Amino acid sequence: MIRILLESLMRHWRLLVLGVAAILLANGLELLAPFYIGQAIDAITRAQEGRIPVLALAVVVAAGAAALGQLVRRLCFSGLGYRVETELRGRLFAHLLKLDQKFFQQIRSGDIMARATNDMTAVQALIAIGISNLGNALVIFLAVVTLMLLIDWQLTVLSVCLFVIPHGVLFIIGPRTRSRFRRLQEQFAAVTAKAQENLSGIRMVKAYVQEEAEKRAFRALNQDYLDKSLAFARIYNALWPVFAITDGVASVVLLYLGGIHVVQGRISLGQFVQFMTYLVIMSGPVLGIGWVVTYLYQGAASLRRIEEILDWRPAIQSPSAPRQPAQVRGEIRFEDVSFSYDGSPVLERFSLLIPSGSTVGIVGSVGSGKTTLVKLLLRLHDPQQGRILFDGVDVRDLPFEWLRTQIRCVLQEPFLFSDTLARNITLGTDTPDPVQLEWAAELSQLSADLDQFPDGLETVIGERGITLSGGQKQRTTIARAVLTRPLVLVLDDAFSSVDTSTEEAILNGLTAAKGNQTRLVIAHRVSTIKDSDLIVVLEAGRAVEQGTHSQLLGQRGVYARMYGRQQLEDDLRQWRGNPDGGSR
Amino acid sequence: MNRRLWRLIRPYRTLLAAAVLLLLLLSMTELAGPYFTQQAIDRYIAPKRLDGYQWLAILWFFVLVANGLARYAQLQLTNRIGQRVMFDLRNAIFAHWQRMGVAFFDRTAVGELVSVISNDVDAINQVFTSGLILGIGNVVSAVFIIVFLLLINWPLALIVLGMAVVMLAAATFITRQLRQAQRWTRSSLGSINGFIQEAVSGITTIQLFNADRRIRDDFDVVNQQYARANLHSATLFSIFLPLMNWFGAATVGLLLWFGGGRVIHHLLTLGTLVLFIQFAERLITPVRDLADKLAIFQTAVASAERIFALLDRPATDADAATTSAIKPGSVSFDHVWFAYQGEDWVLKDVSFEVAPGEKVAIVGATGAGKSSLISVLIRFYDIQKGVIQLGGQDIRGLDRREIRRRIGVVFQDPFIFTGTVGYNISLGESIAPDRVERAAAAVDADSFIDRLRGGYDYVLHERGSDISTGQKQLLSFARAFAFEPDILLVLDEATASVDPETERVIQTSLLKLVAGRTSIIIAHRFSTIERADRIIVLHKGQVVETGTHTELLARQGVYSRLYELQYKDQLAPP
Repeated sequence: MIRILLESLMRHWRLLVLGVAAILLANGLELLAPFYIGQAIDAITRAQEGRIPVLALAVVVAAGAAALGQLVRRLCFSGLGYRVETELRGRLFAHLLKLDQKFFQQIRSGDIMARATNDMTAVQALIAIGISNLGNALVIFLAVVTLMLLIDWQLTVLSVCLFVIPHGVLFIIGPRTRSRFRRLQEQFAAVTAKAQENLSGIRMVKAYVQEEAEKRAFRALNQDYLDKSLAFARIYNALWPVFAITDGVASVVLLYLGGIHVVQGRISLGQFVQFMTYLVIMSGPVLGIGWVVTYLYQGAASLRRIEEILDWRPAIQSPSAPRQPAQVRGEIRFEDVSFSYDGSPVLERFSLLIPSGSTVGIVGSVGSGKTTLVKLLLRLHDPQQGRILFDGVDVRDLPFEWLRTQIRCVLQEPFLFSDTLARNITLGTDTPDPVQLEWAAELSQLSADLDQFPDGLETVIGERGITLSGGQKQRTTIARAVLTRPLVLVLDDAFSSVDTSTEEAILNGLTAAKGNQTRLVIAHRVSTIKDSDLIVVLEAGRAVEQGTHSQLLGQRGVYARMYGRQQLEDDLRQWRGNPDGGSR
Repeated sequence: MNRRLWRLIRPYRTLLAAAVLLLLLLSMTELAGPYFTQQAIDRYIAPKRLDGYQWLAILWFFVLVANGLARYAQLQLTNRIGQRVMFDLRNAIFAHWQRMGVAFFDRTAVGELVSVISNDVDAINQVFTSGLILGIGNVVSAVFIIVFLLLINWPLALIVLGMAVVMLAAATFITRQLRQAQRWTRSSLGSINGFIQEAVSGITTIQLFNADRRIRDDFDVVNQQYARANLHSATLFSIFLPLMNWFGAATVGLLLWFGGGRVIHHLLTLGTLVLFIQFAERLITPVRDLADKLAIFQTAVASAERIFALLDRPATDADAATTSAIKPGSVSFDHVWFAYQGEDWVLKDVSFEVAPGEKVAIVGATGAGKSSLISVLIRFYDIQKGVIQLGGQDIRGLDRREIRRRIGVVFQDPFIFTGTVGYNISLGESIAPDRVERAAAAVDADSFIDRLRGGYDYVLHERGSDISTGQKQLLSFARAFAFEPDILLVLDEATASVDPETERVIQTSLLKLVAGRTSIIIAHRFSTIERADRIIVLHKGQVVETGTHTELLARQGVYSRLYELQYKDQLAPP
C-alpha cells in the first residue's frame, strides 16, 4: 500500500521537493510576522513611536511573502495529488482490462466504479490535504518550538506537553475510524451497485411492475448506509471538539503562567504577546492534525481497496516465454479437453481437429458446452485437462494479442460501445482502412440500414447500442469480426437476432470471402451449418456425433432426429394442404 | 433553487434550529480567548498585580469545556441533518427513476445517472454540513466580533471592518470562478463513471479484439480532462486561502500602525490593542471559511442543479392513482402511428385486432417495427396518432402498471438481477415457493436449477454472468409463467438464442401457457408462428398481410417469401 503511494510520489519527485521547500520557506516567513508584532508591542511600551510604521510594514511584507510560499505549497501538493490520482486511475483501468472473467463475476461493476472514483478522490485528498498539511504542521511545530525555547523554555516545555496529549487521543481513535470508514465505503458501493443494476434493467422492472419492490430494496440498502454513516460520525465528530478543548486548556495554562513570568520580569510583555501569537499560529495547523489524519486514514483505506484490484493477478495471462507456430495456417486441434465451471463439468475429454481452411459447425442444446469451446480457444478460460493446439502450438504458449488477432469472434451477446458505428467496427485494428470498413459493412448487410442513421457509419450510437435493433447490433459485431479478414473466424450464434433473408445474404457474402479462412460456426439453424465440412453434435460436454450433413443423416442419431423433426413439421404443413406454399 | 433546497431540509427544521442555536453559543464562547487575554494584560500583567489572577484562568477553562461539548453536539446535529437529507434525496431520485419513461433511459448513460445518485447527492450534503450550517456559524461569529470590537473601540473596529469587507469581496470573486470550475469537474466525473461502466460491461469484447490499448487511450482522454478540471479549481483554491491570510496580516499591520501611537498617547490600553490583533487573526477564519463554504456551496449548487433537473423531468411513466379496472378481452390497434423521434415513423397506420383468446404471430424482417409494437402496447412509449384499445378501452386512459400487470412480456435480452434464482423468478412479488418451482418446471428450467448449488437459493452474479444465455432465457420464461399474466403473453423474439431442442421444449410449455390467453407472439421461427391462429406480417412499419398460415402462403406475398427462405434448405434431399 505504502509502496504504491511512494512509487507514485517518487515519479513526481520534483514537485514533491518544490512542495517541501515551499513548506519550509512559507513557515519561516510566517514566523517573522509575530516577531515583528512582538517588536512593535515592545516599541509601544517603550514609547518609541518612530519605529512603529516600519515594524507594521515589516509585518505586512513578511506575511505577504509567507502567503506566496503557501500558495506555492498548495499548488505543488494539489498538482501532485491530482497527477497521482489520474495516473493511479489510469493504471487501475489498464489493469482492469487485463483481468479475467472470474474477477468481473466476483466484483460488481458498481463497486469497481466506486474504487475508480470515490477511492481515487480519497487518495488525492491523502496527498493534497493529508501529506501537505501534515508536513506543514510538522515544520511549523518544530520551528515554533525552537523560537519559543529562545523566549521562555519553561513555558515551551509546558506547551509542548499540552500538545502531545491530543496525539495520544488520536492514535486511540484512529484505527477504529479506519475500519469503520472501510465498512462505510463498502456499504456505499452496495447502494451504488443497486442503483446501477436497477437502471440497467429498468425495462424489465417496468414490464413486471417491480417499481415498488425495487424502491423497497434500495431503501433498505440506503437505510443501512445511513445507520453506518451516523455511527461513523459519532466518533469522527468527537475529534475536533477534543482537540479544541485540549488546545484551549494549553492556552489557559500558558496565559496564566506566562502572565506570572511577565510580572516576575523574566520576559517582556512584547515577548509574551509574540509567544502567544506563535501559539495561535501553531495551533491552527496542529489543531488541524485531527482533521488531516482522518484524511490520511481514509486515503489509506481507499488505497487498500484500490490495491485489492491492482494485486489481483489474472488466472489467465499471456505466456512469459511465448512461442510462435512454425507455419501459420489456422489449424485448430482440441486434445482431450476437460473443463468444469465451479465444480460442475462443462466439457469432458473433448477432442476435435479443425483443419486449416475448413468450416466446422457445432450444434447442441443449451449448456452443452458450445460457447465454452470458444472461450477456451480464445483463452477466456483455460481447460483443467487436455490442451488446445493452434497450428501445433498449445494456445497457452501463444501471446494473447497474437492469438486473438488470428482468431476473430462474433459473440453470442453483441456488445457495442457508445461511439460511432465505424469505431465499433474497427475496434480490433489500430490502422482502420476505409475501404475495408466499407467492405465489412457491406458483407454484414449493415450498409443496407445506413440510410436510417443520420451520419452513416459516423453515427454515434447510445450506451450499449440501445438505439440499434438487436439485428443491427449483431450485424455490427459481424462486421467487426470479419473486418481484418482473420485467419480464423468464430461465429457463436451470430444470427439469432437477424432475420432469415438477411442471414442468407450475410452467409452468401461470407462464402464469397472465404478464401483460406478457417471457420468455427455455432448455430441453431440447420441452414447456417448445413454446408460445413464437418458438423459436430455436442451433448453434455461430449461430441456425440461428427460428420458431414449427409453422413450424419445416415447415422440416424441425434442430428438426424433433429433434422427429421423439422422435416416432419414440414410434412405437417403440407398435409394441411397448401400446394403452392412449402416447396418451390 | 433555494426554495427547493429549503424544502429538502424542512423536515429537519427543529434539528436545524438547534444546530444554529448551538452555533450562536459557540460564537460567543469563542470570543472568550482574546477577551480573557486582554483582561489578563490590562488588569493583572501590565499593572503587575496577581491577586485573583487564577480565577480568570479557571473561568476560561470552564468556558472552553462548554465550548467543546457544544461543538460536539453541533457537529452531531449537522451531520445527522446532512445524512438524513442525503438519505431522503437518494430515495427520491431512485423513486423518480421508477416513474420515468423508457425514452429517457434510451438517451442517458447509466453511469451518468449513477453519478447523480452517488457523487452529486454527496455534494449536496456539503450544502447542509459545510455550507449552510457552518456558513451561518461563520457569519454569526463575524458579526459578533465586529459588534464587540465597535463597542470597545470604534476607530480600530472600522479598520477591521474595512479589511473584512475587502476580504469578502475578494473571496466572492474567487468563489464565482470556482463555481464554473466545479461544474466542469462534476461533468467530467460523470463521463469517467460512464466510461468505466461501459468498459466493464464490454470487457470480453475488449479483450478478444485486443482493443485494450485503444480503450485505454480513450480513457486517458477522459481521465486527463477530469484532471485538468480538478487542477483548475485547485489552482483557484490555492490562491484563495493564502491571499486571505495575507489580508489578515495586513489588518494586523494597520492596527499596529494606527493603534501604536494611540497607546503611547494613552488613548488606548495595550491590552485592547493586543485584543484587536488577536481578533484580526480570528476574523480571517470566519471570513475565509465563509467564502470557502460558499465555494463548497457553489459546487453543491452545480450538483443540486443536476439533481433537480433530473427530478424535474416529467414522470412520464406514472399515472394518477385512479385505476379503472381493465376488462379482459381484445387488443386492437386502430390506425396507429408511432415515431421515437420527430417524423421518423416506425409504425405507420397500423391496424389490427386480436380477439379474446386468440393467438396472433407478428412476422417481419429486422427493423420492421415488431418490438416497437410491443413497446407501445405496454405503454413504454405513447403513440402519436391512432388508438390502441385493450378490452375496448383506450390504453391512454388506463393505468400503465395495471396494463403491465395484465400483460406478461418476455424480452429479447433477458435481464437477470443479482440475487437468488428464486428471486429472479418471483422478483419482488410474494409468490409462494411452490408456485415458483411449478413455473420453473413448466418451462423445463428446473433441471438446470437443480444442478446449481443450493438450487433456488443459488445466488446469481450480476447480470447472470455465471449462467448461459439459454439458461437466462429459461429463467425469464419461468418469470413470465410465475406472474400468470391474465390477458396476454408477448414473446419478443425470445426463442432466438435457444437451440432447437430447448426451443421445442419451450414451445410445448408455451402452448400450455397461451391456452385460453390472448397472445401476441413475435418470433423468427416458423414452427412457432404456424401454431398461431393468425399471422400479421409487418414490413417497414406497415401491416402488409394478415391471415392464417395457409392463407398467407396462398397469397404468394412477403410471408411466402420469408417462409421459402427459411425452409428451402431443409427441404433439399439429404
